[in-house]
Amino acid sequence: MAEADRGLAPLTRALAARKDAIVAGWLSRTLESYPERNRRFLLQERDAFRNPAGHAFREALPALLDELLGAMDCARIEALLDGIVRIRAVQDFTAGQAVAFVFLLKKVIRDELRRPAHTAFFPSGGEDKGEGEGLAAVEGRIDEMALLAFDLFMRCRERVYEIKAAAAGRRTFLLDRMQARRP
Amino acid sequence: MAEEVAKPEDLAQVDYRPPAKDWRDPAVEFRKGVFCYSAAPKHLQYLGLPNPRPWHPSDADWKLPADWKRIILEGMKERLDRFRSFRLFMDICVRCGACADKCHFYIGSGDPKNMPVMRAELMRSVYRRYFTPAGRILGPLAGGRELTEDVIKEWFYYFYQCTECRRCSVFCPFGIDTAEVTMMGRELLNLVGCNINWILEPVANCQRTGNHLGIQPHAFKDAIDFLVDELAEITGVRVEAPINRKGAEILYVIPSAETFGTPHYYTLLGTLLLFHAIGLDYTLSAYASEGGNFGLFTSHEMMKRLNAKIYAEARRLGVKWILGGECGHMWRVVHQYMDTMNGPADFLEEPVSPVTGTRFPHARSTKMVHICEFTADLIHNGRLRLDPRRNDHWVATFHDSCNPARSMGLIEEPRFILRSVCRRFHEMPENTIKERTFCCGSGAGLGTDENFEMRMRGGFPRANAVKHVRDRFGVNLVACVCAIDKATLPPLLEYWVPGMHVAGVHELLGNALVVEGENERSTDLRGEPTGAAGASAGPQPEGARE
Repeated sequence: MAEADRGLAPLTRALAARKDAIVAGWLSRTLESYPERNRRFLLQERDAFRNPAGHAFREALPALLDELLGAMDCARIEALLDGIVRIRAVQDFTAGQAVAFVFLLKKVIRDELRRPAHTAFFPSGGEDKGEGEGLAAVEGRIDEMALLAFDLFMRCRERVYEIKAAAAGRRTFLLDRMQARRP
Repeated sequence: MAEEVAKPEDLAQVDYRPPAKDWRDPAVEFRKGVFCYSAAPKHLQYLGLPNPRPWHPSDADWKLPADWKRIILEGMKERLDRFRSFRLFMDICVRCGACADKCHFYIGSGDPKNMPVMRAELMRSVYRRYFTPAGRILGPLAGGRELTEDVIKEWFYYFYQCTECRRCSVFCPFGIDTAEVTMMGRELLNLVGCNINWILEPVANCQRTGNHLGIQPHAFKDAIDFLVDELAEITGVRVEAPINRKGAEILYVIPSAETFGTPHYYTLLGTLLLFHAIGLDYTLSAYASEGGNFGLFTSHEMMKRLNAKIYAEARRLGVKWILGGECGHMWRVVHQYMDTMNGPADFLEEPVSPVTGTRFPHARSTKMVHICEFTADLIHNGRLRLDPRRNDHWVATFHDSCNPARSMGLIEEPRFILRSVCRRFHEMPENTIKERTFCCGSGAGLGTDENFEMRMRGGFPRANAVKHVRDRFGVNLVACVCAIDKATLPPLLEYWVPGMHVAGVHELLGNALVVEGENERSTDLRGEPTGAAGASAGPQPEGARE
């Protein structure tokens, strides 16, 4: 077992058992970044085409949690994060706000560990040394996800500027074509 | 001396939650990337519009005229008296919320003021305060809001964030057309000189030369001549493309982008090849060289002014009727306003296809027929030889452009053409097409560069549906019948669904059209190899038809 993953297994088992509650908490905290009037729609409208943003969150967050508690497959995580970050990269967010949803998972997990259901496994809610190692490992993984989210955010922003530049060329298409063919 | 280092807890102050805000507070933040730039004063001067001055939306002082409030309120009163629809739309909304989540800008941005009901409420609240007895006396208690400079800025921000696509109106049980509220909002803003360059520059150009870019007749002819040469190279067929030819039977009006932009250009190649194949007696006009009418996004008067050239050129050239190309908002103007604004066109005849003899009675009054109606009739009557295998490199879907779909009911004709010329065609989900189509997010004069992020938000629901058919059916081409779509879907899809292509319906028709005397075609109109050779040997694609 890698040094970073010490104490991980018991914790991930416990967290996996509470996956639905963690995802619900994560989703609800993530949606707090939108205006209050918008949250209910994002949360409740199930149609993927009427509510593509809400759908993207609902699809990606549980799968990201699976990766966090499982294989941490970088390519899969990137694809899942992309579904969310691509949206937030063009919404009214700063870079920090756009990727903050990844860090929110730490708080959700800590809150979950403090619930009575976990006292048998984690009497201190993750504060003691043995528990703390597992928690540090999970949070380390969350940090890795956050770094990937930053990379994706930057890629999206760069794309925006590249696309804007390329669009200008389309408008002078015929002139360029004429110039090329009639020296 | 070292700088004082902040404590870790002070460093981590990224508040991801938006501040709670009362919707009645009009203050908006003009963040770079989401708003359109102001119009240059020279365009206002050229058009005789009020309050030309240099200003910028992010300035604190917008340099409004001293009596701006009187101008707005008088303008509102005049329009309430003049347009019964406007007064009705101000009065009858019961805030049922049916429209609330139907706007692509709301879905993409999450900004509650982009709910159509809320966007209209920005103006309704002012209407209530100044034009209803309850609002005059009770003010905010009766839902009224004071008209302040911040309200003007808020109107500018949100009325130039609506593409007048009318999707919300499809869902309104009262039939309120929120696009008309936006139109009124923009008219009022124009009275005090708050307008955007991406609209007023094309308007000024149209007034001068007839088209958005200000292309003069000799340049227009040069572009058409070049296009004819290229078409000859690709197909081996040299077509006639007459301009300003008096006595032609039909005047063909295109969006001018077909003479300079891509992928619009290929649509015109396909259309001119079609006209050649059926021997159509037609002419282009170097002045009615633009179907698009950004006057629609400015004011009723401006729309009428810019639209007048179509009938004027039809009369001057002595044609019998008018055919219109793959343009979006042109058809809202033609279908809903042209007849009463600049008609009656009693000097023209009810359109009849010279090839099939089909009458187009729905155009009896306007005398103007959509190219898709005309072509669908040709195919229906078996007058075209088509080889759809030449489009086998495409797996197509169809994006209904807002105005043809919702403002003139053009739903089946483009699909009929596409299914006839393309063997692999797949619809996007039902609640994103036809009358319920999602806008490209860049119509109504918002297709500019500076508000690119807002366009990405607005176009997200459309792109999301495109992504679905790409993943499910392998779709690689979005066909459409609107010049704004052709300009703005490529960047939109580059962001959301990389690798997707965009084409006009008549480009695909031109690929499939078998013309007498043509070369054996190894490429499509873009010069790309077609799938024809390989397709006949391989398995039939899903939904294939000959």
